[in-house]
Amino acid sequence: MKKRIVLSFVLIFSFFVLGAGVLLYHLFSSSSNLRYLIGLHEIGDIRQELSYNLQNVQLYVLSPPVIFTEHLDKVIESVDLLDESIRACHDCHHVPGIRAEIESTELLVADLKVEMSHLITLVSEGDRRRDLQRNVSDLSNKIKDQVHEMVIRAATTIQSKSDSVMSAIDKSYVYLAFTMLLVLLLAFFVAQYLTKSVTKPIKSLMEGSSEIAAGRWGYQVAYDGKDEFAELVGIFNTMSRSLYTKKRQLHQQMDELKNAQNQLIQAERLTALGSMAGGIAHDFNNILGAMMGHLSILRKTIPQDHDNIAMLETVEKAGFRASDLVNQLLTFSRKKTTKPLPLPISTIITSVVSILDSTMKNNKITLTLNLFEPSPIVYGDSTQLEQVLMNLCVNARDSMKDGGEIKISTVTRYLDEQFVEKYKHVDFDPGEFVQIIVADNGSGIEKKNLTQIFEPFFTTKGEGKGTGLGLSMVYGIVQAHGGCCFVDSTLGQGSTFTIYLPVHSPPH
Amino acid sequence: MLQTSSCIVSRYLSAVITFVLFCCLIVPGTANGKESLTLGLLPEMNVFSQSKRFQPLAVYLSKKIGKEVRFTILSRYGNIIKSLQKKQVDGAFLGSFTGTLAIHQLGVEPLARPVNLDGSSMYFGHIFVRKDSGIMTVDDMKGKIMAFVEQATTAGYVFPLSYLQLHGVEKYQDFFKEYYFTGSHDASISAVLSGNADIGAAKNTVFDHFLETNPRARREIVILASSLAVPSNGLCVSKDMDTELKNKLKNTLLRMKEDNEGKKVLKVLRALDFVETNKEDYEVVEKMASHANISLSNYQYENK
Repeated sequence: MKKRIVLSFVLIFSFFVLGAGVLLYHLFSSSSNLRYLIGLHEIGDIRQELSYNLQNVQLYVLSPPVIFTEHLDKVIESVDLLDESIRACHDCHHVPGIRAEIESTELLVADLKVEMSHLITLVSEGDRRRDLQRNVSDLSNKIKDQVHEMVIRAATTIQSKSDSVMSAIDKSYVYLAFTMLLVLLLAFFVAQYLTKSVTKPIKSLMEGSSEIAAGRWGYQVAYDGKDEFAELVGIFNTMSRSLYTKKRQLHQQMDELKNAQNQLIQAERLTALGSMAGGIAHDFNNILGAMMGHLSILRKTIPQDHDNIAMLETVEKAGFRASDLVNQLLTFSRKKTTKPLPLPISTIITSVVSILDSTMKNNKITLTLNLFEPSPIVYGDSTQLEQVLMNLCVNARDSMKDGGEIKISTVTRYLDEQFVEKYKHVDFDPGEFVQIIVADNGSGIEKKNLTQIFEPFFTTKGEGKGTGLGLSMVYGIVQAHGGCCFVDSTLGQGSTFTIYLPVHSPPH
Repeated sequence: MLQTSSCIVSRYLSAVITFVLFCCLIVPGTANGKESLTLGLLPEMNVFSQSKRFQPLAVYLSKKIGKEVRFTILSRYGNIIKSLQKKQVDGAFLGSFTGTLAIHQLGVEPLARPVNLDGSSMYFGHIFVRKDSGIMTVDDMKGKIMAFVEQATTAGYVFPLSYLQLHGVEKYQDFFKEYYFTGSHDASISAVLSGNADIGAAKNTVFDHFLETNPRARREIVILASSLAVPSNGLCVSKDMDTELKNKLKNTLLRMKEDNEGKKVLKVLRALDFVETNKEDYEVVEKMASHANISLSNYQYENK
């Protein structure tokens, strides 16, 4: 842009200088011609003086000697003035042609002076005097003719020079007007061009700023120039892109933070629920144990054909059901006693799959395994871990009324500090983990339910179809094994449960 | 009666006015106490050149003597004697012959004469012809055309006359086919060069200057005879001139070369200096005149 501005001004200045130069040339030409004209007018006086002196001389030519004697000083003065006049002409003219004529006239005057002197001093009369008179007369006529020619030429030159002066002055006006008009037009176009060059990118940048202000982060300003504005637009576009990226990162971070908050809340809720359920279940289990013990004694003491035996059996069945419920609650609250052993996880999975194989087939569900080999070893209770997988697979089956596919895969991963920091609601240390993924393509879970999915007694299966303790047990067992579990689900597409269990490292 | 009286008064008045006017015309030209000094010049060369040569001297003399000095050129040599007689001029640069005449007839006083560029204060006369004229001796001149300068010039008349007398020509009027008087020395040279005359006579100073400025003359003119040296054209003044003025004039001329302005004037005059001159210097001319049978005391002539 700077270069363009400088070039524009140089262009205007160049045109101005060019016009001024042409104008000056014509003015110089005019003034030179004017000076020449003044010179011609000045020498016009000299020519008149010359003619006057020539006439004086001619008057004396035919005079008798006595006149010369009486007026000799005047005659000499006239001839000298004639000589001076022609010399003055010589000093004024510089054109070679005219100079040659003047020199020729000077020679004639010199000859005239010689012949005139001879005539003045001649003592004899008669033919000699007449010859000299004729010579002087001829010479003076020649001078007169030459002067006359010079006068005519001078008049012609004056006319010609006057015409050329007027023409040059007229041209000067035209050139001045043309230069002014041209410079004005040029200045107008240059100003318009520069204004456009400046305002167009500024306008684009202002529009870009408005777009960004309106929330269109990452808005790009289009500019095809190669000047400083191109750099500015480039910087603007980079800034816009950067804002867009930062905004996305911020949103992502906000989402993550929100998720973490939700998970933390969920975890705290689950922990609170676990504590409460565990306490109730423990006390209830003790009470139930006493009731079931006394019920067993009572049944042994009452005959089998007693009318109340059926009532006892019903109470006993309810007692067992209550016992199962209490066990499940204890499992969720991690207060159930476990018997941990090093276990190959693939064996646990294949064991569960073999149990479920027939029921899955009946429901047109395919079970696909993709297990990491050699099987990672976890340190845990096989019954509880089998229960975890069983619950997940049963839930998956229940979500696929018309069949589908359940994929179970394992892989080992190192969960670092960053992961731990990200899921700080989960109580585990960084280290080597086995990742178990159970994914189905069933009906999925509504988003609003995802936060409550691991809570006890929360079920979407309808009344009488589920206890709402299956996933609570999964959560409790995984937590009890030093791991963690996550769910991701899209309604209508299926759900994916991810479980991390620490890989067992036997003591060296 | 009244008419007669008025006529008489009128006549007297006219006579008085005429007398006053006459006095006014005459007195300024001759009186010693007048404001200007008029000096005559002989037309020894082209009158215009002659006038120009002496113009700076007029300015110089005016400044030095405190009185306006003007030169007047005369169309005839002989006129100078008349002018001096009529007191129309107060003095003149006279040629050797006119000077001798004026000394003898008018008692003029010679003051100073110029030293020529060759270092001498003398000049001499030449008789010359064109190389192609075939004239080598006086005998060859017979029946030819002779261009004298003037009857009052030494080089242009007295010398050729004396020369012809010495060579047995008693009456030149019958010897030449034609003769005439050009009036100036350079006109005589021009006449020979242009063929208007076969023989010419002129003074050497003008002759040399003419040849200097005219290459054709150098090529075509040859000198047959030269005279003895005579004093150069000196300033002679009227015997009536105030002595103090005379001395001023003389001293100014003699000291001209001492100042730069005077040197410049001398250069234009084609002279180196001025030297004192007196009546004795003109004796050589008197002898030459004697050879030409000219009586200086009562020499009268009329140009033809």
